[in-house]
Amino acid sequence: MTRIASSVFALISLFIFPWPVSLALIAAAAFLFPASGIALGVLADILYYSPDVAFLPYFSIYGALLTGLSLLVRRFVKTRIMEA
Amino acid sequence: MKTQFSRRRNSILGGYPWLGPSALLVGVLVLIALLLRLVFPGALTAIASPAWMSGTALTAGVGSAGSFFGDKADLVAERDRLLAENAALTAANATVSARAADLARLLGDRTEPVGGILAGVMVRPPVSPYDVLIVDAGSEDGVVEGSQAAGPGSIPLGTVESVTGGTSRIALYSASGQETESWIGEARIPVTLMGEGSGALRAIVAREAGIVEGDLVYVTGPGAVAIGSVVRVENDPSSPRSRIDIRPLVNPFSVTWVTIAP
Repeated sequence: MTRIASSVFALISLFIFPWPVSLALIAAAAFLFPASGIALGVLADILYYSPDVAFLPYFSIYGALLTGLSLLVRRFVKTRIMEA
Repeated sequence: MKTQFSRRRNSILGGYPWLGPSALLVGVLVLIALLLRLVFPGALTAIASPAWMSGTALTAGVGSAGSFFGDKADLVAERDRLLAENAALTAANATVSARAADLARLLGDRTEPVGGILAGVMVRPPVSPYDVLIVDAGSEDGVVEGSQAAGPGSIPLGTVESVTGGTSRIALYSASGQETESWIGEARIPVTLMGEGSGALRAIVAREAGIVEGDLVYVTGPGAVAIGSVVRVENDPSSPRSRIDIRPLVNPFSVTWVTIAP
């Protein structure tokens, strides 16, 4: 439920909030649901990017990085009891 | 001999069986959106427009919500002051209008009405991560690609980059990578403006050009039309050129209406 809510909130933020806030929410959503990072990044660029206004589709790149980072964290960082 | 395979080998997704199907679903949705943008851009903006309009309305609502907490006596005093100011301005406006009419009868009127298509801004920076405005007038209203868009006071803001039936996308002069031919200062020194993003512009000029802070920057329009002013001149002793930082006269972060030259 938290995963879906965070992704939906990040999606809505693309239409309402300034882009730094959207990016932070996408980052938060990506750590709960990795695929949402790249999906929301690409969606932001579909909505706003055009080759005349920027050299690269930055949101897609950031989204892909966040998704990759999230997957790596999920793969290598495991919850465990720390032993002395 | 029985071979033991590690279940965790290449298993970035292995511990989360729901991740694969979910990612596939998300990927399909993104692909559909991409196709909409490329093949049916009008459909995408039609779907997104209600969300953009809601966002704009919410943003405006937040700005006025603070008045709810204002002191009642202060609000009454402010209202009285505004009423008095309005009455004075109405009287002054009547006088000025009469004088303008008299002068027009005497000298003739060379001022022509400003043409253009009025469009409401649905998305502006910083909601848009790039320096783009999305407005609610499109090809059905007569907007064509390459038209010049202007803000309050007919100050140019940018050019129409793409058009759908009911919306247009305006690339601001300040968009990263945009280059605009212009003039600086009273001497109209020709320069190329470069967009820096977030509403900022810069230019490189010869140091002996004598550009100072406060000089206006002009683009072509009906004559030379001011679009910004110089806010900083950076001189490097080892370089014969100066870097000029320019701030636009119209803040793209707060523009609500634009006119588009047909």
